Amino acid sequence: MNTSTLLIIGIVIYLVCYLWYGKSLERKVVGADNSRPTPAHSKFDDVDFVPSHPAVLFGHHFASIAGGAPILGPALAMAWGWWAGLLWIWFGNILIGAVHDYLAIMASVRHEGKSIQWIAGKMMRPRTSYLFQVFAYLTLVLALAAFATSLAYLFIARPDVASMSMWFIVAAVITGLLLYKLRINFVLGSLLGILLTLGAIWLGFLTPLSISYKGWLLVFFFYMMAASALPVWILLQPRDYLNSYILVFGLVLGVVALIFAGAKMELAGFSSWSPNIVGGVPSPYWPVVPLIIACGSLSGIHGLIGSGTTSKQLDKETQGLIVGYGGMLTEGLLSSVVTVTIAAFGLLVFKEASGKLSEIGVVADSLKEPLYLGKNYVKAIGAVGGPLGIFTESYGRLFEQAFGISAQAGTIFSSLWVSAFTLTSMDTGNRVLRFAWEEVWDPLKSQGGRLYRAITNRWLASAIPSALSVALAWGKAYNVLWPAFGGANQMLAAATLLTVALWVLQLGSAPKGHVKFIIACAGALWFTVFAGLWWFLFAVPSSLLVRGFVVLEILLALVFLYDFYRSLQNTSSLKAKYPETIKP
Amino acid sequence: MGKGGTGKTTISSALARALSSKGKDVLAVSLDPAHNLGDVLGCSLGSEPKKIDDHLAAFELNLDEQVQRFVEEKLRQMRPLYGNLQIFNADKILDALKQSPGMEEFAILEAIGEISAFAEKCDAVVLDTPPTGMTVRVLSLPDITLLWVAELVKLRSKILDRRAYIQNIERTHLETDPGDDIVMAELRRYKIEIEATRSFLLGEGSSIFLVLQADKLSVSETERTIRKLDSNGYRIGACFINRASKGEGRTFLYDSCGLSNLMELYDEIPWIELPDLGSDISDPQSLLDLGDVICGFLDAGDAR
Amino acid sequence: MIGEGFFELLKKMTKFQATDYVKEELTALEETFALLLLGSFIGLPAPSAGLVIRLIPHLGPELELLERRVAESDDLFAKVAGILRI
Repeated sequence: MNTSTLLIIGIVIYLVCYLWYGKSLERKVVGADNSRPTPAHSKFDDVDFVPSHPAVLFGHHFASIAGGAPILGPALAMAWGWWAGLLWIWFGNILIGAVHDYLAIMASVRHEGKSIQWIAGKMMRPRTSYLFQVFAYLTLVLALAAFATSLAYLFIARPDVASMSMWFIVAAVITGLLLYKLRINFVLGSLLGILLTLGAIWLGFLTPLSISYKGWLLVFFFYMMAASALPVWILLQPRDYLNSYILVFGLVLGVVALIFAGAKMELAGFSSWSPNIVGGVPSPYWPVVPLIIACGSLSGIHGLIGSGTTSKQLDKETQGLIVGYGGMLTEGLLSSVVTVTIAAFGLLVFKEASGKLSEIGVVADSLKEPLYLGKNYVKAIGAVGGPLGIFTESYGRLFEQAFGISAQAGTIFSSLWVSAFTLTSMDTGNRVLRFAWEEVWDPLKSQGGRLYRAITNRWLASAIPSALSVALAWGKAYNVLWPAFGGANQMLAAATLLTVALWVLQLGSAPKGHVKFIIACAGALWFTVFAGLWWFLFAVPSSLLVRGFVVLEILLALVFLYDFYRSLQNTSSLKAKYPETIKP
Repeated sequence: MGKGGTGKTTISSALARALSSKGKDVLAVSLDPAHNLGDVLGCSLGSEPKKIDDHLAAFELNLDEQVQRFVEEKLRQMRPLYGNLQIFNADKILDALKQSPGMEEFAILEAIGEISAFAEKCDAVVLDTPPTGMTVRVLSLPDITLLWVAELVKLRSKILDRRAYIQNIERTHLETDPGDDIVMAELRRYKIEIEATRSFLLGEGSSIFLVLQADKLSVSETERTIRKLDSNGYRIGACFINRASKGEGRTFLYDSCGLSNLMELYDEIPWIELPDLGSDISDPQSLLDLGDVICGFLDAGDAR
Repeated sequence: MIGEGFFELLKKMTKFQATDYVKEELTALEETFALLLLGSFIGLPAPSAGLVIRLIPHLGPELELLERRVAESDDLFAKVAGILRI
């Protein structure tokens, strides 16, 4: 089995299932009808509701959902072996992940562009909407913490990457100034931006930046506070713009390189059922794999993004499939690239770092053995820059084999890719958290005036999420934080899926088999994640703070299930209440 | 300006009469809703300047009419431009706007602005103001408004900058070129007008005269007023102590109501004592005599 | 022919990526401006009733904006979540 065949198999599976399952969802369940105006037309306001060209919308939606997450997750999941990872990346995505994204967008389209959270509130109870909010908040805080930890690990292993990331910020700011203040020609500005990015990479080489782990966390804290307080034209917009070029190149070059290289898979396909991943303890494939791969195959946040803005810009109903389902499958392609790259070149990376590995008690050569891999993979990657590090190093060696250029080039490029997206996630995440913070404490508003005002003070609203994330990250445990984030994220997805299941049920037009299958998948997901959370609580050594988060997630999941159950029972009366959701 | 009943109208009229008798062209305006100017000057006044004799014209500002006029005009301008929007029924807007806080103060300020344009033609303008509270608010209005306009201009230019950025990239032509944003132009125009009104009120040639009587309430209000006006940069030309006592009881009276302290505290302001004219006030000659007395104290020609 | 269309599309995509955040921030600023000016209608301390009167003829778009904001006020999180990059 080599990288070319594997990747081609993956692409074929995705294509076939898109055309078969995806199309059948579109036709039979959603009943996508181009004669029905989408909210982009019926509520057109040229600001939020404006129809976009499907390619433009696809690009934008994809760039929003494919950040650093589809890299981190699969990189960690390599502990189970690459076949194990790919199974979930392929089939979890096709049957659940992409379905989730697609149906969330279409449900929103049919509800005048309202968010999935709003829809949940209508389908179930108002407090369900509030639950979504809290879940989203927990998910984001954990995500930022996990990103902060992982990025710090990468920066410590590669001070030149750290420096390059800082220089990239400078490059982005200069680009922003050129385009915004000086208003230079767009094409020229874009080219200059790309040149500046290359300059940043070069400068990174020359001026490596070594700071301690905790030092980096503090840097990230101040970065989050500062970046999210700036006007967007200075940093966020130009950086996000340049990021989209990096993403396209990274993915396309990765796919091309893998197919070209035809490299052998060096690491094991299956290591063991319960390798040491989460908190260093044996982690069973079921129910833990969704928590690890998370956004690589399925992500609740995509539902928020999709029903937040994407649905308001959909031109025709039939374009929803390529944007929603297709978008998620493309992210799955990215995850596949990550997995296959590490599987083929990870061992090489480990061998070249055998000195550092032996310092932490890992024998590089033995990682070839499946059982040894399972036991020591997560430990081993700690020495090469964490999950982000193992990917970028492997990517570099992939380039070397496929294109014959120095491994440094590929590593540097993918490091820029990974850090750029991660830092952008921190910036946008903090902005959203500022808003969500006040929403989360809304129930307090009616009761405790002073307490509410104290908690929702503007400065606190910005500082607290950042502080929480950094506090969580203090313990250096990305292998604890990431699964905790995964749990919240997957539960959010389960909640979304259950909500759209209710919607599909009410449509009445979908064939029973399909509906039952969707509900079954949603239920299975809920149960899996729930089991995963319980397992986490009892099997994984973690800080009190993290446990607190997990307990909260469990409680919310139960309340949510209860609300869903009650709504399921009342479906017939709901049908009467909301006749507009039933299309002829 | 001063507390109600202290004799503002009398003094304003006297001053106006005296100045005009000396050959200066005077415009007397009553901004006081109580509208006693006409009574004191001895002829009924309307909302348009009316010539009373050779050098004296006067009118009484109709506040309601002023407000109505502006609101109606703006609404009329609005309809053809945005008739396709779902706008409130014009009547409803009118009512809402008339009730809007600060509307009366605004109307007075605008009226003063109009008067200041008029003032070129006269040698002197005498304004009989509404009761102190409202007058103080009106006088602080220019500064507050300028601050607010500055904020709005800042925000508007941020908005225009971003529109220009998007236009530059998308190369689309919006109906309104951000370069000549109407709102920005209007904000700037308003700023200039307010600044003109401000310099009219605070300038070299204008003075504020406070009228008070020797009683506790009047004195304490005057003190507050002086402080407030001071902080806004206004110069107080003189304080008229109306119906002033003479003789023995004077010192005692002034001490007990705090007036002596006040006069000491602000000894740079001329404190002018005017006698009680009693019921003779409506007699034109008495008014003129009073006015001459006032002018004598003031060096006629400074007052505007 | 096809090449032309492709480049047009590419241009559209890149321009979209380069302006999406600024557009959202612009809307937020415009709403703030509208609120500052027109807030007096809902009881916020008016900056100066006079200013409002003079600007009203030109504030049609702002009125529209606020109307729209009110209509979508029950689903604010949707708009907010859209800026995420995870």
